[in-house]
Amino acid sequence: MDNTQKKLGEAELEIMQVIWSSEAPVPSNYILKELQARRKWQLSTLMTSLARLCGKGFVSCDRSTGSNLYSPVIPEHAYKAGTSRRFLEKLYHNSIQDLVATLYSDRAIGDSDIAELRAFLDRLEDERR
Amino acid sequence: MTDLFLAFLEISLPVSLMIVLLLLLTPLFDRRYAARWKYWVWIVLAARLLFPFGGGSGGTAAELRPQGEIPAMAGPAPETKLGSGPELEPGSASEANPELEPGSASEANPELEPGSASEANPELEPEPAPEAEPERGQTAPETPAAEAPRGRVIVALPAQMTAPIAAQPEDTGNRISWLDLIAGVWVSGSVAMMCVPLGSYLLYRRRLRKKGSAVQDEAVLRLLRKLKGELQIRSAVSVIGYPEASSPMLTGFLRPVLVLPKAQYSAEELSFILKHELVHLKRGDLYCKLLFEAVRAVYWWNPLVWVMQREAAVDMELSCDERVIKDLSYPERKAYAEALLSALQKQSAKKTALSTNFYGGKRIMKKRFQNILTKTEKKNGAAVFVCAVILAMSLGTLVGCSVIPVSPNPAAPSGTVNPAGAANPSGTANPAGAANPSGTAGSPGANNMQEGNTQSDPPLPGTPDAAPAAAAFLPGMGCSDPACTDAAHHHDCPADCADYEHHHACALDCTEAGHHHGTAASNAPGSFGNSGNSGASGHHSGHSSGHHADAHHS
Repeated sequence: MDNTQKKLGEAELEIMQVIWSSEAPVPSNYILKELQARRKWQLSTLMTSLARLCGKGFVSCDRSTGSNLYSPVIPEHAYKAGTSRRFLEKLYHNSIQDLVATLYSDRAIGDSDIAELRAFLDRLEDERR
Repeated sequence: MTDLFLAFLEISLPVSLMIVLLLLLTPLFDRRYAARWKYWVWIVLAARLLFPFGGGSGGTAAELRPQGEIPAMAGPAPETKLGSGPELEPGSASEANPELEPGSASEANPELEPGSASEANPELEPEPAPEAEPERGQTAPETPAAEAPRGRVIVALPAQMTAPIAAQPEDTGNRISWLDLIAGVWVSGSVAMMCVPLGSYLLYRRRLRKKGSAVQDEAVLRLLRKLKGELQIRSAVSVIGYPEASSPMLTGFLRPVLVLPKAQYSAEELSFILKHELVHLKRGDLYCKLLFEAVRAVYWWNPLVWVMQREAAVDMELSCDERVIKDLSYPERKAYAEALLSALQKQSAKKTALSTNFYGGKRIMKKRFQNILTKTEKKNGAAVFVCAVILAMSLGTLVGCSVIPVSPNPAAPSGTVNPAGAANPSGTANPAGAANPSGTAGSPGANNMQEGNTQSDPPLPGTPDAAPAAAAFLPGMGCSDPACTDAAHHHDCPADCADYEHHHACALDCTEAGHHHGTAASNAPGSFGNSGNSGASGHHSGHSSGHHADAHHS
């Protein structure tokens, strides 16, 4: 329920902030210039990130004119709300763990962890055969 | 509030050391002993933290000065020099139950460490206590004397600690606000640490009510009944299906509810799952969790307490597993481990872990698998448990020295170092002992006797002198100069206090007038057991600890 909105990495967040703060769609050069102070990126690096953001649904790329123009899809306030909601959900989830008795702890457990546990259990069962 | 904070601060040091010790010994314990013993030690430590008083060893607890003295020190109150004997006597007979003390932190229970604010619920701000002190001046006479015949006196620490501060505004003015500020921060943190989980929990229960549905499946209910019968659980528990649950769980402090996520479990899996949760129910693990939550709320500033909570949760699960697989054959245990993994796998929510942490589910699960499939029989850890409990209880009392309130009439400071006071007579390794004033005087009587004797050895009867006196008195160590007339060194007796008990420096049969602060060694009427010296050993026990500091004094 809380994973509908993707999270932004630190660099992506900076890019988005540039895009959010300008009213009109911006070209990538503009973004690069704005971020020059803090990030010494190559244009190619920026383009990669922008492509990723496009894939995540945060920006839309307008290729109709000569240069690519980027505009935000998800407004800033929505993202911030989603962030705080995510934070609160996590806080809520963690808080409960200390007051209920679960079968297992699903704290920080992902698919790869489960695979690892499967292997671990197999090994244990073999050893103790 | 400030004194409550200090009481918690004091107890947290020795218990923190025990936590570290237990953490270091964890690998050893995990290998050799069943998990439940360590789990119970955590519980004992948590209870010790939450109730910093009590646990005094033996009956020699309260050798502190009579309460009558305290109100005398109460700044705001008139300097009712209750003196030692006379005023206390009249009221004493009538008050058999010192618990009548209104709002005070004194308890009739001799095991109480006076170092604490003696609050049954540490989260109750003992605001009444400091304010009550002035009134206690009037009511106090009753209680302490009540104790007197039994040779025990309980002193309310808040009085000691707050009153003297008020009594000496000139040098403690700044100090008050500094301490109060810290205590304020502490309380705010505690409130936050209590409210957030509570709020989340209530929110969760509400969601459960709205989106959960009672499980109607007859097979499940039949299984539940059967398992309840096997485990001999009589309390009612309902089963709720809640699709958003990330794991089967037991919840509900008053009316337990077993929550099942929306997943398809095989009959065998379900049997294990229900059994696991029912074992949690049977053992009251939810209440233990609440205990740890409360402890963490109070000690949020102590990272070791956070660690303790996590470790205890792990041990809780391990011991729960042990109970589930008790008397099961090895293939059945394997089936249980498989059921756990399978249930974990079936969870759809929150499967992507963006970060792993030490207390991630993976590490704990591995531990559990190892524990379930272990072939070595684990030993009974009862002996270790008992040792730990004794250690935990005695640490608190030994560390505890009553905080000596600063006397409102500072007599010429004098006194020699009190070696016994500094040393930890019981021999328990307690580095905190010397430095940490708190209110207990629980050392066994035997040790106290030693202290009394050693104290009488050092010479110096006779005139007190002002100048070098300061050297003799070490903050935190107390004063051992028998000739010291500085009432501040002796738990706030007035300089002409006739109660030898206050002077912690004499042998039982000391007749040295100089040891009694200038008055005759004879007893004022009604002084406590002075003549008979009956609970005298008890007097001494308090002394060493009693001398521990008065930080104010420095």
